[in-house]
Amino acid sequence: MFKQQKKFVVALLAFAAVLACLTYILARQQGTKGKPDMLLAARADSEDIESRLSQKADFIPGGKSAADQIIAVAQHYRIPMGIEWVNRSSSPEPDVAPPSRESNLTVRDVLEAIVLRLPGYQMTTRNGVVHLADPAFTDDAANFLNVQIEEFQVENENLLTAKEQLRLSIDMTLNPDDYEGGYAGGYGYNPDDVFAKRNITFYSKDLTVREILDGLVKANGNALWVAQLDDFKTAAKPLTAKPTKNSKQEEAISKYRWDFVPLVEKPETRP
Amino acid sequence: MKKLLCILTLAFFGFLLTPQQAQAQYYCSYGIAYGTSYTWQSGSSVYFYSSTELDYCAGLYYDPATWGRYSEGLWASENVRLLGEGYTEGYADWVPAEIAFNYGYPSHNQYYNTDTRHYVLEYYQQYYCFYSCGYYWYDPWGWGFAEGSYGGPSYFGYGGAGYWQVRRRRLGDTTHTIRYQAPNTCEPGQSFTANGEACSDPTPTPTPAPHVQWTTETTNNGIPLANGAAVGSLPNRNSTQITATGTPSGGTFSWSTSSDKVTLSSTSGSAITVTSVKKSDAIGDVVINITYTYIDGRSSSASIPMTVQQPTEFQYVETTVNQALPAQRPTRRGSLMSGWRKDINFQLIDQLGQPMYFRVPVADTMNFDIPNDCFLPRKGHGTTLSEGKGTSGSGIWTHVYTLRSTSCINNGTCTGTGYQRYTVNGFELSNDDKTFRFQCNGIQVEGDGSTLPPSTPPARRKTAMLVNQFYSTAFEDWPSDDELLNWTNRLNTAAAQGQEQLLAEARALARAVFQSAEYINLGRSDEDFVTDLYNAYLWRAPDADGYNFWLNTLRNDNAQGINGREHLLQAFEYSTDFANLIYSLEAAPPSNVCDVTEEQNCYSYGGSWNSSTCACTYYEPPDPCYGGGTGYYAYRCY
Repeated sequence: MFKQQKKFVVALLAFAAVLACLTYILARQQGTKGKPDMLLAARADSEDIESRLSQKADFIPGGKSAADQIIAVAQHYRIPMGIEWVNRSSSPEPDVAPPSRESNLTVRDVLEAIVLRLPGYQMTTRNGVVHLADPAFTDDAANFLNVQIEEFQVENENLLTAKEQLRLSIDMTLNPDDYEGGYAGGYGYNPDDVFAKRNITFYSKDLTVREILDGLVKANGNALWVAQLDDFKTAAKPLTAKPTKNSKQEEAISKYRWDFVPLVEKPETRP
Repeated sequence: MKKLLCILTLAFFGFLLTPQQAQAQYYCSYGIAYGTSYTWQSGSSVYFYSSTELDYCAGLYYDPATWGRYSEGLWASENVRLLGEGYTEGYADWVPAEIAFNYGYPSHNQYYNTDTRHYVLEYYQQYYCFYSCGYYWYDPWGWGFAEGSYGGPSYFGYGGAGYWQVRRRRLGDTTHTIRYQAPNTCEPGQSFTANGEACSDPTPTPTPAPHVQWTTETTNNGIPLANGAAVGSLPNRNSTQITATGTPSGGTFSWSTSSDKVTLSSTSGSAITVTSVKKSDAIGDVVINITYTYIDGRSSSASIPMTVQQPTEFQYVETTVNQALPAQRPTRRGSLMSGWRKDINFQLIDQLGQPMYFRVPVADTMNFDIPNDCFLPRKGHGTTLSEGKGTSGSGIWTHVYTLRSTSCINNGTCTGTGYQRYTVNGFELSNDDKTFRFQCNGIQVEGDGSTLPPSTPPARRKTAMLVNQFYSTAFEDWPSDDELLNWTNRLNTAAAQGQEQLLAEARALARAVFQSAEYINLGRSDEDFVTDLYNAYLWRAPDADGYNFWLNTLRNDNAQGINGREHLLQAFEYSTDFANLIYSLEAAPPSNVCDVTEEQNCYSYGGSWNSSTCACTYYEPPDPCYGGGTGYYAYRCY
């Protein structure tokens, strides 16, 4: 009898344990709003980008500028990338000789060889995206890429619309008074643009513009982003400065300059 | 008388005795001899020239003669090297005594000299006498070589036989020196040296005739220009990039246009891109001129006739998206908004009424009529050239129209009207402004063929709208949350006490706005002030009569030292129209009511809903992060 009771208790405990695990798993799934695969996707992204960077390089870029060379490498190996260029009027971007054609170079070696010749720039990998930036500007408050967007959402949109939405979100965050009642307007684009395909569903909360851009290029799968930063270390007005009351929204928005560059100009279409 | 006859006879015989002398003196009172020494350089050789010439009178009695010496070196400082010399004689004034000489191996920076001695050959008669002999010659111009007296022959003796003798007389010397500069050598293929000399290469490389060529790329670069060639009934429109080449290479290009339809930048490069286009009234009237300046400084020109096309219209093709937007809080302040979106494809049409089949840069502006009950500003978001990306290669342009407004939440209604103006290919299509109508339940753009059910305004306007109206009119900005909540509550409280109390509170609101330092500091003109009062108090634009009346009143008051603005404030706040509008208001809380969907979601995920802040709080927020720092990208992980 005692033995049977003991078996019953063990079975009960085992059942409780299974129930607790199921509850925990369900809770986690609920916490991600029905997108548990995103967790695995993030890890898979990191592994994927590492494997792409570690492969043997069979392509040496021939572009003249460093930007051309880096983008050429990204396009050849289809590496999602975020580039933060600082426009230094006093010292224009130097021409960089292409890396030497040594054997056994990896893609990472090629990229680092180019970056090494750009004073101040560093290459890092974060969230499955290769980043190229000058650390002196990366964390600066005047960098619009550090603006935190409380909520950003696009559903079944193309990258052009996502870009416009993000541009609007940045300005709404920085100048909320200008949008208190609402907004209206529009934007136009080439319907044959490589980014016109509506394939992006993305939701974020409390992410920076940089992180949202990373998410968008990964969601699109055929893009890298390039931001143009003014040299605000030497002459700039902080982004937190509120524009004058009569400033036009359009003028304010045009301050945030970035663009998406396709990894493949004409993606292959599945039959 | 006898004496006179004797004198005349002697004079006659004397005249007969000197006929030749008298004849020479009659035609020539003097003669001239010319002496020349000249040295010059041509190509890689030095040339020398010496001459003595006589004029007519001198030639009557003399012949010229020249002795030339041609040398290398500077006489003053070094020994010179004689290169050549010669002597020659001429004949009277007919044949000058000339010597030409050249030297083909001169040294760079060396001196080369011509030294000439000039002579005349004088002729005289020699007599062989019978018993008293002599000779005579002529020296009619006194050059000094004649013996005897001027004016006649010197002779003596008679009865002999005479013959002519000649003697050379030196007139003087001339010299001329140059310093030889070696010309630049010619490069293979060159016809001319840098200093303009023809190349003396005995076997020059054949060089093509100087010319400029150009090519126009067929890729579209966004500007409808072409070389004028027609394709079917339409001009060819797909070339904008011009690449020119010149011969010999190494020269520079410059570019210009012969009309103001296209503006080109001058460049020294080998290619140029059309950078902007001005308004054109016609096609085919632009010529781009290319000038190629050769490396030797000469120029060659060519002209390319180009076609400029003026886009005139955007024609509706189809609507691809037409949908309601879900409620969102897109701003940091968190006002809940919803609205409508519509995507329309347009086709670009040229002035011939034909579709334009190439990529064209496009920008547009969105202009709203104010005031409007969507609380939209006068200027909406448009498309900038840098962001628009242009049309497709077939001239198709997708435009996305979006309205988001706090007025649209919870099935609210509002309407915003205005017009859209395009700039296409640098041409502002002011003739094709497209009027539009934005509503919470749809968007209509001129020409899209759609109809919109009229936006039904709320049965009663709400007190919060009055606050918004005063602030947005006076400051062109919305009230802050605190201002909106404070004034709405005050109005609602007053409304609960009665219509007169509500009217008094509305007047207080108007005073707080128009007498604020913020408004005064805006420095609005008298004209603006009258317009502001109409928009804020009566919610409409002024009519012409009313506007003129109140503007004149204001100015007359000011002229008489009366506070005109105070006068007008009182007039508007005590007007019947304003009172009726206030009496019609519905006392209601500010419009930032919560979104029911968000509230439902909050409960569904176990959160706690705060209806005053419209925010959801989860008791146990889900952990969005996975592992040590590797983040699910939609959440911030540390």
